[in-house]
Amino acid sequence: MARYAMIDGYLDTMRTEIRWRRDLDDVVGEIEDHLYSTVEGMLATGLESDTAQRATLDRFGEPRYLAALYASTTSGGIAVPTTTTTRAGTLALFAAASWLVMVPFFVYGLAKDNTYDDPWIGVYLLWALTVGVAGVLGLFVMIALGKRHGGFGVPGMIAIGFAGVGIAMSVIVTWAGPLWMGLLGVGYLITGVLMFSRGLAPKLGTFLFSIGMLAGVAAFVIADAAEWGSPDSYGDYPNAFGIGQVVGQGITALGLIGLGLWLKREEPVEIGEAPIAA
Amino acid sequence: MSGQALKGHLDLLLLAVLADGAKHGYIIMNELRDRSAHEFDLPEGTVYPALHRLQKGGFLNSEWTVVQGRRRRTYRLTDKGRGALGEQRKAWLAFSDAVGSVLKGVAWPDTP
Repeated sequence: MARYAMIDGYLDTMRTEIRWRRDLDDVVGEIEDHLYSTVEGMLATGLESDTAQRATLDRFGEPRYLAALYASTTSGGIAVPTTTTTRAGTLALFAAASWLVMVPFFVYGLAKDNTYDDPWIGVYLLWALTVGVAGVLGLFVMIALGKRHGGFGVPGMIAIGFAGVGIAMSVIVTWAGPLWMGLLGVGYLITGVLMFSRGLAPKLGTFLFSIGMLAGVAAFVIADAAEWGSPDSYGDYPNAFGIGQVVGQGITALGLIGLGLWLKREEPVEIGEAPIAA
Repeated sequence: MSGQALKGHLDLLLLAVLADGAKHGYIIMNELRDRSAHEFDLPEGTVYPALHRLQKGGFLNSEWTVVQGRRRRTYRLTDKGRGALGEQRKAWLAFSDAVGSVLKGVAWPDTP
């Protein structure tokens, strides 16, 4: 198959402009087929190669403008990586680290059958601090994920609302883990569903982030119903609480690591104005 | 006709071009231009993001083949796409008739 230098140069430019696309090879392959078909059609009418290539590219459109169309969402947003979203990748990793800080404590508690009634106040405060920090950082990550997907609209705001209330609860009544985990979980699940519907983010990271907190609540409910371990002086089962925290915080942290690495890895781009708001 | 004038109508036009069978982007663009007597002469590259959006919405599906050593994606209407075409066509005809009724009987102004 004959190659055309101008067309190939255009394809290289296009590849750079839409490099954030997960289906980059398919998109560029489709454009290549179109441009080569057009050039060959023009050559068949007797045009010179350079003239045919120039005319073909003129008809196809400026790469930067087309990149804006490829990034446009049905809601009118622009779904591209920006400096904000790449920085949010780092925040996601810090959020994951914060969620993981207390996991060893709960694992230790499970190993000891949680014979304590109340944790030492210092541990409790550390727990409140870490879940608060993780929650707030996670909120910024949710906002950045919305921006990266071109905006999540009202459902996205509802998700942030749930997460916001969950964060407040996690600091005020840290001991009521299943309550704030449930609120955070609903917010994260809504965000995850919105992300899945757009198909941009890595599926595993999105899935783990979406279900982590609710899985923790489910683990608590099951373990509590099974009356796992020794009850404390309140008649509650600390093991159920512990397994809920380990599952919820652990899975959420893994999801955030996946999403954080993805956001961080992307190179920010600037997008031109689309030639047609279809 | 400029791209902006086509705003909101591109989906209907693409569905209409695909109504009689599967086609790839190059053919879709040519048909769009030929069937509109070259009125719809938007940048050819704009058709692909629109096709992808329609596919994502479940209105089209696509498959890859290899033609003359090149990969080629062909689009086809789904049942949902065919239904949407029917609805949008009906809405467009009603709109077009209404505009025509208003304009009918109005004396054409002199054009400079």
